[in-house]
Amino acid sequence: MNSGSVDNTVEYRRRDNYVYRLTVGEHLLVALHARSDEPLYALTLTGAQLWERLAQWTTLDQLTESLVGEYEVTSDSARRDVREFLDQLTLLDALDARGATE
Amino acid sequence: MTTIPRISAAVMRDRMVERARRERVPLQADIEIIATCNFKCVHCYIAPCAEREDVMSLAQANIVFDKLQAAGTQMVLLTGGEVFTHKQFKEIYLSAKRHGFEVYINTNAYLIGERWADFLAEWPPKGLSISLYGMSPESYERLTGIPKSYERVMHAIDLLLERGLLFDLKCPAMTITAEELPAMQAFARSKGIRFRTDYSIIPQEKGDTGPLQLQLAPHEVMSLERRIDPELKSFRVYAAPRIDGSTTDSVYKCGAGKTSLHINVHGGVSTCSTSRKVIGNLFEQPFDEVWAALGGKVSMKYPAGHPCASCQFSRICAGCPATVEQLTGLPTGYVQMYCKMTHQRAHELGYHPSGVPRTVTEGIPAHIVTPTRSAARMLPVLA
Repeated sequence: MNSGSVDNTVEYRRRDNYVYRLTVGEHLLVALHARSDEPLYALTLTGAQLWERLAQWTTLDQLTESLVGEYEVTSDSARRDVREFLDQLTLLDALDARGATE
Repeated sequence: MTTIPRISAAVMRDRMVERARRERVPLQADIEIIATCNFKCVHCYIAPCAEREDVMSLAQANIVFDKLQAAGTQMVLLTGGEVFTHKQFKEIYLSAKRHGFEVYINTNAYLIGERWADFLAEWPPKGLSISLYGMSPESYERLTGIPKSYERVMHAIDLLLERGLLFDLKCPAMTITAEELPAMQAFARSKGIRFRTDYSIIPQEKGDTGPLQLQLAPHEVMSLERRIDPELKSFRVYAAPRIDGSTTDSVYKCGAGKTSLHINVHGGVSTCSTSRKVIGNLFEQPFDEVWAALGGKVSMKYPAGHPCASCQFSRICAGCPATVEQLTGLPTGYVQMYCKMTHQRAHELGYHPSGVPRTVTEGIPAHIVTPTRSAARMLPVLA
């Protein structure tokens, strides 16, 4: 199912309607189905790392932990970023979600 | 921490192009997946020389895609021949998309019916470029040699428009299209489609110079440009930043071999689709080896005394190293016809007092290579 809003009891996985590329220093999400809409999105390095982790079903907590483990960032701050990223992917229709919702 | 920064696509692209230029990354690749065509166009330099086996298979295309992906390529143009006649076109196209490339397609659109149009709507290319060859069934068929080609292409254009696909139209300016080019441009404008033309006709890949008899003479080019754009507005905009009084002895002033390359059906790599001089092979060699060889080629300088090295209009030249190479055998050759076209344009724009190049009065230095005898015979002789 498509995710509605981001929920930390839910597992998320990226959809296959975008392809990630790293080229000339840009982390890109290339849309496979976009028409006149913008077919390219830039990711930050953090976004790219989260995108890679989203190849497998994963939770908000697991994604947050991965950021805390790699960066000097508080859990609350990392969770906010992950939540924002998942919201953005949802808007791009790039995310599947499964499990209970609050 | 923002994970998807809100930057415009244009800004991102500029950044990518700038870095690609700086680091010589092959951002764009033209891939000829089939050399044969369902049209028999009189000006074509590829298909008339092609054999049935001149086709890149899906497996070969994937070799190329993998190497380009690793090298940093972002934009891929699938071209031919006619790509929709390729039996594995759909698979090759989808593979290119799944490699994460922004995919462009060159086509004559003859085979685009409802099913292909629906497919393209579901899996849209970044851009589609359709060759247009006239504005009536008669003129279309005279050029393409194929009955109903006009009706089929017009229908395809409507199907693509109905589905909101992005595409442009293009037509080579030559003796048999010149009369209808303004009407083609008006047609494109009426549909809200970009139209472009090009004035250079080159010999066939295997050397037949027949297409050159269709080349417009410099004064005909100027007259046509005036009909298409009476104030020469677009050329004025193009020329202004490229004419600053400076000169350069660099032969390649475009992105060929610096941020782009061309790959033919057999994996052969050249600077661009116009140049047919293969410098390496992507089926057989590592990418870096071929890319290095291409880099050597495009860093070449003009020999001493070459007229183009001291020409302040070389950045707006009607010719380019690839067209010059096709006519003379060398990118460092000299084609006076291009020189006359360029100087006449410069004159029309107020940059040159007479529009007559120096070589007309002073002659061409003897050590500079000029068009081969067979090419020279076919090129227009009138200024």
